[in-house]
Amino acid sequence: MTCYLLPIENPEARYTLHVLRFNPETDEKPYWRSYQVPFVSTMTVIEALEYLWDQGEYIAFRTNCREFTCGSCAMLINGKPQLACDTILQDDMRLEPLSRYGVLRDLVVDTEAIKKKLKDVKYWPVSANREKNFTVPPQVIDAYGQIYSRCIECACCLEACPASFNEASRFDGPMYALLLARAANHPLDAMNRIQQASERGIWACVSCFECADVCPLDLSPAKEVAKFRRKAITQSLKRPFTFRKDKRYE
Amino acid sequence: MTLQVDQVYTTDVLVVGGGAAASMAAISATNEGADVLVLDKGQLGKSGCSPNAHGGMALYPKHENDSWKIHFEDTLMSGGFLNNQQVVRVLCQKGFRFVSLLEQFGSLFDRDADGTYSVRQFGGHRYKRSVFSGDETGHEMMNGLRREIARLGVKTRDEVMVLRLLTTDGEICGALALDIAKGAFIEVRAKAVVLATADGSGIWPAAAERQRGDGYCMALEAGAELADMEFIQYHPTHAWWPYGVRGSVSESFRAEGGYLLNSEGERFMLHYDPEQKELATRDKVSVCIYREILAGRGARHGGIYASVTHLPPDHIEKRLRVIFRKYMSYGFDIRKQPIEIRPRPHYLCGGVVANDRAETRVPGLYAAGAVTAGVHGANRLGSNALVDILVFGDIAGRNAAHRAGNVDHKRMNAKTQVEKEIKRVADLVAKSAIEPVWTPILRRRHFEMMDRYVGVLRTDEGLRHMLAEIERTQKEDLPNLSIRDKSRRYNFELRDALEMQLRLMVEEMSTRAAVTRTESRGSHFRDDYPKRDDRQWLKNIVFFKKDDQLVCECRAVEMSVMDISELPAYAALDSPWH
Repeated sequence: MTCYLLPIENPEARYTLHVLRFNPETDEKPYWRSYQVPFVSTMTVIEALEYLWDQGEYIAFRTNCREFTCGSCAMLINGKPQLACDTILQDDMRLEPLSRYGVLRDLVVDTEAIKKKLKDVKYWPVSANREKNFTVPPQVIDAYGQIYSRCIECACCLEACPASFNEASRFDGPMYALLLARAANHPLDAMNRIQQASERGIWACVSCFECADVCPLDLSPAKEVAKFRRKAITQSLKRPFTFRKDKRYE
Repeated sequence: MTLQVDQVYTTDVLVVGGGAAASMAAISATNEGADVLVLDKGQLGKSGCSPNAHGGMALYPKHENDSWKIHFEDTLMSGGFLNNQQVVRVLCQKGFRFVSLLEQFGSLFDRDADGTYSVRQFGGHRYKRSVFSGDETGHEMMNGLRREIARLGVKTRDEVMVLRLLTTDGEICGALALDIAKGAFIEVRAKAVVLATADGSGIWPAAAERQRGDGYCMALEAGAELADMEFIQYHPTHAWWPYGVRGSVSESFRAEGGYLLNSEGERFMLHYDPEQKELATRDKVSVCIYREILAGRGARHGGIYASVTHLPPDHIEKRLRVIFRKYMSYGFDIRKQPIEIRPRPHYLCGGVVANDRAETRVPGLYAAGAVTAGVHGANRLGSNALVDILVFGDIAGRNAAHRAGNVDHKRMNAKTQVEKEIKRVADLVAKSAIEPVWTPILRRRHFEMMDRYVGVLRTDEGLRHMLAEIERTQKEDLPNLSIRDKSRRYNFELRDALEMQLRLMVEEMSTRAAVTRTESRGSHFRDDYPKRDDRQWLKNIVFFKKDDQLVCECRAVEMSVMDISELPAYAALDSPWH
């Protein structure tokens, strides 16, 4: 619902918006529906969806901050994973839910798996003595400011990654690699993150940099994967696939 | 929609909310050994306003002359001495430990070359004391808190909207909630409840409109008191043009040296406040901007210009990276062009009355963070909110856990309350009014009216007009409020309609308090009474429910730590701002 009081009465154009709708209670399968939306320059997709709410078309989608700090509104826009609040509206846009997760309704997907995996990878600083004093090198602060603090966990890069197609893939995915790098750089962290990253399948990354392409904050998880790999090679870590248990036979 | 309770949880401490205050309360209560359940209307760590708080946390007195006492004085002067002084004292004394605590959780804040925390100054603070991380401090704070919640394995449920707190013999015994994801009712039995929902500024056309004041209504219904509801702080610099850009342009924009310019290219703040200039307190800057706009010196699209073009480009890219990037993605280069801003509602300073132990009047109900009154008085100082939510989130969590350790589960005797609430939802779903009223249309009208009549500049006439409108809506529109979407899962229309019913209560309290207060103080500015009146109005306006009726009462402020006469220069003024 848009609370902005600027006039939308004189739109510059009327755009068509196609949305893949699906309500598991009533629909057998997803279907496309088209809507007409007035366009005012620099209007985003989220405002178009909110405009439709105002018209009584309650398409289900998640939204919160509208300034790309929460990462709730990731969806496939013209087939590309993007944040709806970060994408300027164009004519004939096609909105779909993320394909990596189960659809709960319309554009809302089930992201419980992300929460579970974040717990699995221990993305907090693991340390025996958390109360100790520490110093932070300036380059770590810079790295946090430029890269790690900025990840909003929107899952766009996971959607784009060809080496990690779902949460059960051997490679966890770019977002998790970036969060591991964040943890590894934290001055309190004492865990062997290179070993962990190695076991979590960073070797499957094909360095296509799709993740960097779609990241709404212009981060590059692929670079973090590369850094991990370089460190793992210089430390001559064992290649993990040989000792990682195959889950299929459990 | 099934009209019965589908799921029952039993827990020691129930935390309602999903921002930093709720997370902090959940962490502290878990550390004290309590069993905790967090219910969040959005997704934990992604909802509410904490992740998009840009500014900083005022808790690091770095300057040698700075002390908690000076921070205390600053807070009180900004709050027009209406603050609860015991609460403010705790805020100013206990803040510091939380930076290192957050860093243990996994956050990292900016540091200077000598290894100490970088600090920046916010409007109204006499010294630089706000620790930050670029201009995404809230996001970084939530990064740490979310990690700690995951590490401790706190039980959380996302997308669950708490409808009502349940009481037995005046004590809290649990809550009834609606699971938005499944359309099912959840009953929670708890020994203590920490209310850490947001404030109610979302009933104005605010930046983060998820703050719709549910927490206020829950607390009021449960028997708690609400105070200071007339003080809605307008954030002076809020994105206005280009159209798609949302949210506030953080105060760091002005703190880093940004100018405010009228259509004649003049730094008008030099006339209004030659000393503090652009860094005057938020309420004052808002009124000055409105005066400029009303005098016909506004910018092209109805706002006012804000510019950092005189600052070095790399400084802008580094220190204002979120704002810079935000505008860049709309093709706007803030290094070269001034933007248009306009004051927008930002923070409702009032709320649930809680003491320095975060206890409310209702046994078992604790309140922390933006939902409480007392910390900020009549006007909030920039970057005090992030300290408030940490300090009192922690205190509320601890005290709730202690209570849970000392009392047993109340015999649940709240059947009528549960049935009444389920009936409210069921009626809304089943209703087919002849002349249906749709939520978005009703809400839009109320947004506009609240902004116009209970906004920056208020008059008796406008406020009474608003009161009449609220009364009319309650009588005529609410009985016909209908929804079209009858499905169970993710029924956002139902959620919005339920919120619409509650928001009228908050609107009524805010408007009634604003009519009652015949002076100007802090963020409450009456055009017909533009002076501060300390003889008559060193009082809080308190609301509570008695026999199902809303009662309004004026209560003198307790000056338990510092009397207003101890700041003679401030007491001698009759300006609403310091």
